[in-house]
Amino acid sequence: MNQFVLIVGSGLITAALLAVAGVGFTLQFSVTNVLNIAYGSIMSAAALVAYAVNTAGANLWVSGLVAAATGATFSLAINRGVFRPFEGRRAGPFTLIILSLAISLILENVLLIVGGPHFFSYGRLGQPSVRIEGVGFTPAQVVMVAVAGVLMFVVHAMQKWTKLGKAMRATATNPELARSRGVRTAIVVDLAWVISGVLCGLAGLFMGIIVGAFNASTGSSLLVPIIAGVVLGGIGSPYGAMLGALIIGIVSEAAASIGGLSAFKQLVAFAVLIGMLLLRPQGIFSSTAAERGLAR
Amino acid sequence: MKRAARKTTLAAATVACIGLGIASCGGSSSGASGISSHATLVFDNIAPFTGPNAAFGPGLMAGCWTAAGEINGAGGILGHKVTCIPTDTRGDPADAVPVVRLMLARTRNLVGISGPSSDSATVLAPILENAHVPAFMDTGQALFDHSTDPYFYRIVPADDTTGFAMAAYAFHRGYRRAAFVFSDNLDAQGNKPSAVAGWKKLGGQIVANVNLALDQPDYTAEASQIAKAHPQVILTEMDPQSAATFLRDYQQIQPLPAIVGSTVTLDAQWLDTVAKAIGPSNLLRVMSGIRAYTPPAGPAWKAYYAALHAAGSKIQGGPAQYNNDPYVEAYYDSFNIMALAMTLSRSVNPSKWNTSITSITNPRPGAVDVSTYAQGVQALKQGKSIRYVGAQGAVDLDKYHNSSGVFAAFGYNPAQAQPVRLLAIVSAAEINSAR
Repeated sequence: MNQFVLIVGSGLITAALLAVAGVGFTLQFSVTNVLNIAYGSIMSAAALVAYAVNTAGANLWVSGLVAAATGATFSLAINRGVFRPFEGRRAGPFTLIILSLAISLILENVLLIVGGPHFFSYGRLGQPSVRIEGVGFTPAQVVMVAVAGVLMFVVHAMQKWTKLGKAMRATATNPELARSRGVRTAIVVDLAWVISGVLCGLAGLFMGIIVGAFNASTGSSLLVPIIAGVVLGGIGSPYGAMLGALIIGIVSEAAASIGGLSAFKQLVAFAVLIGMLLLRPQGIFSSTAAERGLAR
Repeated sequence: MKRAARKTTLAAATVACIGLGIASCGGSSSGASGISSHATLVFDNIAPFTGPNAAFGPGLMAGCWTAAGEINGAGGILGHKVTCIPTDTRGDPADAVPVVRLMLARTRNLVGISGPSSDSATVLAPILENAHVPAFMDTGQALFDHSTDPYFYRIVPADDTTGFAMAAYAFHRGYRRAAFVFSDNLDAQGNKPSAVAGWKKLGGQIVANVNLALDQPDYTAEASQIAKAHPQVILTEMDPQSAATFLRDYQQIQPLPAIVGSTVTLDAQWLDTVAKAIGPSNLLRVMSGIRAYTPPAGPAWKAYYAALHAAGSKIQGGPAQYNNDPYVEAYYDSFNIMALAMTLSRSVNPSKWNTSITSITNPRPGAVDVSTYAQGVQALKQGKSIRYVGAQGAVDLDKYHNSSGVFAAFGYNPAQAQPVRLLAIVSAAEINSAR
């Protein structure tokens, strides 16, 4: 029982990070069709800015707002400054991926210049005061999982019950048709980047809290499990990203808790990913992958 | 048409030169065979300057700038001034190969190399051998113990020695139940086999043996598995981010036992990062790290110290952190050795002076000890044979161009100017008891 609580508890903490990051990543992809490899670097940027604000005296809630604002600003700026002009020139998906890779490298190196090669840490953020079956969790970890849950619900509510959500889904499905029906797709795309940036920024803060220490390249190092969760759940589907993150998080922790497999925890998670995709190439939820020729 | 064809040929040749890392392409590249009389000579430092092991690069550059200041202050090498450049491998062999090939193809007047470190040494060694430029490698990998590359040198200790010293130190301090926790990257794994073998040889019990996937967001499951085994001591090498996360997660489960780390765990950045994650007082209580040791005394160390501090702002993070760092002292010594070998052979052509290196380092009848570059030049001018005994102490290269030294255990020192303090010498007898 103790082992089960440990695996699920640790898995949930990892999943909270992967889910918030993954939903932001996939939401933007579903609307814009741009695979944003710079996402991890934006996470790092938001984490560093939030950390600077926190060490200047602001609490974690204010730092969270700053992280969200930083993520949104970077995200929007990248769309307006880079992707939109290239899309106007009918750049193909491969060009856009390479562009996002270039942005990622530039951003990471700028962060390295600004922040230096140092690592930053929030430290322990309290004693493990919440105990389940003898397994302790810190208040910050519990709050983070709860906040991730609330964020997932907010995204769900926005997608389901707001005009913006409907407009986003319409733009994602068929932008031409959406435009002809009066949806201002350019604004919808901008808002998709902003929302994605907000989630990316918050994921950056979560990353700073979860990892013992982070630097300019930590966000990029997490991009692979984030994308794995997104693909597993079905690229383009926020719900898929949530479930994918949960599976990746828990499977990784289960592998790590088995002796001798801890070095291969990511490999085990990816093996599950491959197995799942063999059975269901479009991922668990999404039809977007099939629609865009990413899977049959 | 002719011009177009020539352009194409030139472009193809350039691409081929860069791709193959051919040192002599174009006549102006590495190898430094055609150096003009007062051209500045270049020492390149191949190391990670970004990525998880970004702390390595500044150490190499510190050694280089320290030596360069001293060499230039003494009039340069045969009238040539020297300078230092970095080549960033990012700690990744895939990144390292193209950047080093590019460096070799582009760098004019390259005469010597410091690095690379273990993360990319294996893939870079053949490229550097083909370049015919002496390289004082910063790798501890045992596979270089019997290198036959005539341009390869290593005056930093082999990794397996550090591992034996870690086991010996922990065992002779009374610990018997050990957990081995190493990151699953090449650098960290280099120390593990000898640490495990040494511990077994001494009769210690291994209660957990875990390889950690690098830079994961959470290590609670791994920490829990190890904590259950109740180790008295954790023997480890991890990068700063993984260490901070793992140790903080462990601490969340139960108080940390004693930790004996490798040389990496004594880097100022490692200590600073982990101190932030688990608290400076906890780090002070549990941490000790093993590294090669040279006492901060004697004329060579004083010269090193003076040159290090004279380099001032060129040293990233300030000179004080390297006051008694055997690795930086070894890098510094390696440049002085190369400079003296050039002076002895009266040539800056690496293929000529390379054969003079052992004449500078190894004991010979009638040779006078010199502790600085300036002393060496002066003695050579007087027609004397010399032996360079530098900041690191005497270097005695074996037939595979390897040399190693003495070890000590250091603890964390929260005073940032000098982040470690000496705990105990790990004697050769103690190390040998683990071999």
